[in-house]
Amino acid sequence: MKTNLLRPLFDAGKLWQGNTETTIEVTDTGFPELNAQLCSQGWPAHMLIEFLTNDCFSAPIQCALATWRSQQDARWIAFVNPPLTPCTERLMQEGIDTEKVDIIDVANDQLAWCLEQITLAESTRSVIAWETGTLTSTQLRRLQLACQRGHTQLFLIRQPAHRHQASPAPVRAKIDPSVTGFEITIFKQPGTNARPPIVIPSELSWVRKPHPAQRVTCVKHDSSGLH
Amino acid sequence: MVIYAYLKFPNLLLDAQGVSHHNECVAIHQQGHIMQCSELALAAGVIPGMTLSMAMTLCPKLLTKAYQADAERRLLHRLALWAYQYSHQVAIWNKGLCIEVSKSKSLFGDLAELTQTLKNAAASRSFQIQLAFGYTPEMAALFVQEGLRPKENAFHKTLSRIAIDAATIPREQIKRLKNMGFRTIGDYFSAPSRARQARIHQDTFLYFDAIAGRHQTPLSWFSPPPVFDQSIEFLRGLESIDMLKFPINRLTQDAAHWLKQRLCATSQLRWEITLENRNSHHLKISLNHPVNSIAGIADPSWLQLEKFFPESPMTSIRLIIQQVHQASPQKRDLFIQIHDTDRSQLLDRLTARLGKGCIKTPRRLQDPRPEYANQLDNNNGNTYPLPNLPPRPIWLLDPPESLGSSPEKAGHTLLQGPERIESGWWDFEPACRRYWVCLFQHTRISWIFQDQHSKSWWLAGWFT
Repeated sequence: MKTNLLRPLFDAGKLWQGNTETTIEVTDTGFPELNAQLCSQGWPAHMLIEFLTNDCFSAPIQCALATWRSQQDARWIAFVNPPLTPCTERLMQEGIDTEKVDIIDVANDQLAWCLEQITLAESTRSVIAWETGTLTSTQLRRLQLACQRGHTQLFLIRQPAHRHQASPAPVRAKIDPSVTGFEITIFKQPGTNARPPIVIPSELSWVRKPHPAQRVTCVKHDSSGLH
Repeated sequence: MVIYAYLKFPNLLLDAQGVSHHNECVAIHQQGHIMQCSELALAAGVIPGMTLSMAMTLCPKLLTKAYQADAERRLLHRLALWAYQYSHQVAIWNKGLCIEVSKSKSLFGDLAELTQTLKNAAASRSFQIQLAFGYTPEMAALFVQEGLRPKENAFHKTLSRIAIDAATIPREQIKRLKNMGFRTIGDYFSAPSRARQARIHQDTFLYFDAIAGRHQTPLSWFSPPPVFDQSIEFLRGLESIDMLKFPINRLTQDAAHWLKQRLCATSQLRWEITLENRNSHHLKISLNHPVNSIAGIADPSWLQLEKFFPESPMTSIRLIIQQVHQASPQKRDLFIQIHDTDRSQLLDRLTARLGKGCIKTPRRLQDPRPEYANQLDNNNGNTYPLPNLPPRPIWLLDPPESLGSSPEKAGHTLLQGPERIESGWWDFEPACRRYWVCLFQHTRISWIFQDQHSKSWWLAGWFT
């Protein structure tokens, strides 16, 4: 009887058992290795996802860009309190429709309200937010509910010190920069146990291995300006 | 036959004051006499018609307010606007509303169902109503006065049983009719018409014809005003902005209702708050998209108003809508749900609370200089298509950070480049630069450039 009552919640991915694989709506992370680590092979599409990292510039935005690139629709995406100015041309190079991007700078005391409004809106697909250290557990819970109600995905960038604090975020990952890319440890996710860390290689192979002919030509041509 | 509903509002004068009177001893007075009082005041012994001094003696905590004809008129107009959704023929008549309902029956069911609908709607807006139906407004008003609500086929039968004293005619006329032997209205109509006409006053004769449905009183029908202008006055000054929530909700409900009736939407709202010190504060709200829903009007209004700190208690609030647009029907697609309304409401809410410049959109201009090409602005301007460019960094530094004369000294090792950008000679901000992709301290990838005029190096952005 109880199972039947709870069945709709299980089916909707709103309730899961700790040791049972669950099926929830997800978005492709853009990295096959990372997909393999995650329940249902991707980031939950309508949930709060916490990234705990000291590297607020690089890895989190790479994760977000990769998932936005892999799945696009008519809805908006939002950057809240980005650490620097996002480059429009780079977003276009990533295949993101910049007319559907909002960049919002908001004071700390308005952050929770602002994130809740954005995530509640069904017109928003995904949000990435920085400077979220001041959010309380209650506010995080409200954001998680807003994500479910508004069918929005919310990436929160937080400091690693928050790892030892309980959080209502269904997915929590620790990200550390490494020489070849970044190391990501999913230590909380619905329906499964913590996973060992994996390294996601950097997508900047074009930088590290430039075409030899191009490099020679360029350096030769501008050698006077270099030294 | 035409059927009219007459709606009487027993607490009209109290409701016109705009504040809940259910938990207060309140009385409205005129020329030293009580006109209407709240239930608590009644319980304390105050009754309409009593002198003000007597009422104050009986109930020392009685809150008194002078009768304001304007407030009563404004409330009746607001009620007429509300009733307009049930019939296109609504009249303000005899300090109540007269609604022609014979055509509304096909929409709202028979008279019993219509009664229930009106009562429920009035209850949801915290208004107490008494109503009855009749072939003329006078007949319906008489039934309301007597507390009767006969069915359509029993109008005349019920009327004939009503005592002649119930007629709203001068007392001497009633006395005269009684002396003539008429005890009920039925007795009056059983006498020959010519005999009655010859013996009684013409106004009385016409009145009885009207209550019997034989004489039609001309009514001036209400039509929704071209401009929405409503205000609510408070019984006592409100000190906290939170106390405005209820009045704001009422005004926005009425405004949304008015807009929907006119098939219109608005993007300009004007609020006016009057304080006890006679100062008025005006607040203009511009919305991103025309709206006609309660939430669409109330949310941005509240978010702006909650930032207001009154220096003195507030005595009234007023909402004015002058500019309206024709409302377009909501777009629906069979397969794709379009979130236009949701999006515009989100923008309105964020703009109202965080300010106009809070949301920026990335835009690309047709300029080779990165600082001009990559713009963030509040306007939805054109974005130029992307030419075939080398990879750009995720983050840009605005303004670029100086690295001095040597990038290596600043920790940047050149990896790839250069990309030459020479532009801006036409706007006197010429740029002649060579951009390089660099490795910074063996961990991060940067984007730097050398200014070819000054030979200095600058950090322009970060890839990772």
